[in-house]
Amino acid sequence: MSELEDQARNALPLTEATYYVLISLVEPRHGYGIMQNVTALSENKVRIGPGTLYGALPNLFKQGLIERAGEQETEGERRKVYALTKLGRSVVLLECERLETLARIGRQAAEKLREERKE
Amino acid sequence: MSEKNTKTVIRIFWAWNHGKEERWLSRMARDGWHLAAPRGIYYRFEKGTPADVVYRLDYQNPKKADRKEYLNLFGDAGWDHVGEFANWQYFRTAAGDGPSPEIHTDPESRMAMYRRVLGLLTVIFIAVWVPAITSIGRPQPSGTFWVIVRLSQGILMILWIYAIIRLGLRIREIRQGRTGR
Repeated sequence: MSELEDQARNALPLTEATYYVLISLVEPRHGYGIMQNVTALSENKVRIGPGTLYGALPNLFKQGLIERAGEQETEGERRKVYALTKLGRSVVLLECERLETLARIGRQAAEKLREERKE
Repeated sequence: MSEKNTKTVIRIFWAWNHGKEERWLSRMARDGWHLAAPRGIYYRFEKGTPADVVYRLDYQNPKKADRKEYLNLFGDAGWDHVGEFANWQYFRTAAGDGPSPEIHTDPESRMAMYRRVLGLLTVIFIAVWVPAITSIGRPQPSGTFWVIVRLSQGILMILWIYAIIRLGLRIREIRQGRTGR
């Protein structure tokens, strides 16, 4: 197993907010872009407030999961743009795999429970 | 007949109870009094049209380079920055039909905010009160004045410890998922 993957595994599991922020950064976005994307991705079920996002970003930097990717100018204001680092990409991949596994295993159990209920 | 269009109100809120402060500011806005400047326990209001406004407080001290980014983030999300006092940032937005919008949307960031407040209170406590405690028992100047000084020091210290404990309990409450806000 590569060193990068080991390092990525240490960052798991992600909190729900972190998960949404990271999967939003599959494409570079500024802060508001992240918030909008999370709302859209989750079909309005999850919202990330600005206080939560502002607190989460420095942690993700510290963990080496995201990096600055220049600035974007909108309405005369410059906004920092963020992107996933190599480590960040590994973390997203591993977390998605982990959740898929959990969901698959859970589905088997859920089906069994449903059948029990029918009987 | 000059109707006063500003007023200052003095009120004290505990740090863990800023929800109460937020609701109070909303009630003031409904009466047409809009917060203009928070200055600790002094709140300056300006008279305007009564409005349904949601207030939220954040405890954050963005560094100079980050400040714009911080305020832009809130601005983009629809929050006006009303002012700040001692790292408490006051935001407001028009109330919608749904539930009150939140600036903190997960327990982790709520806990992190209270930890920042707790951290500062603890640092000040160690810097100011520990030396004061260690001076107990040493010869002290006598006289009514010094008795009053020591008495008020004592009361302040008890309040300080109380605040630290309450903040700690609040963090524990959030960790155990017993409270949303």
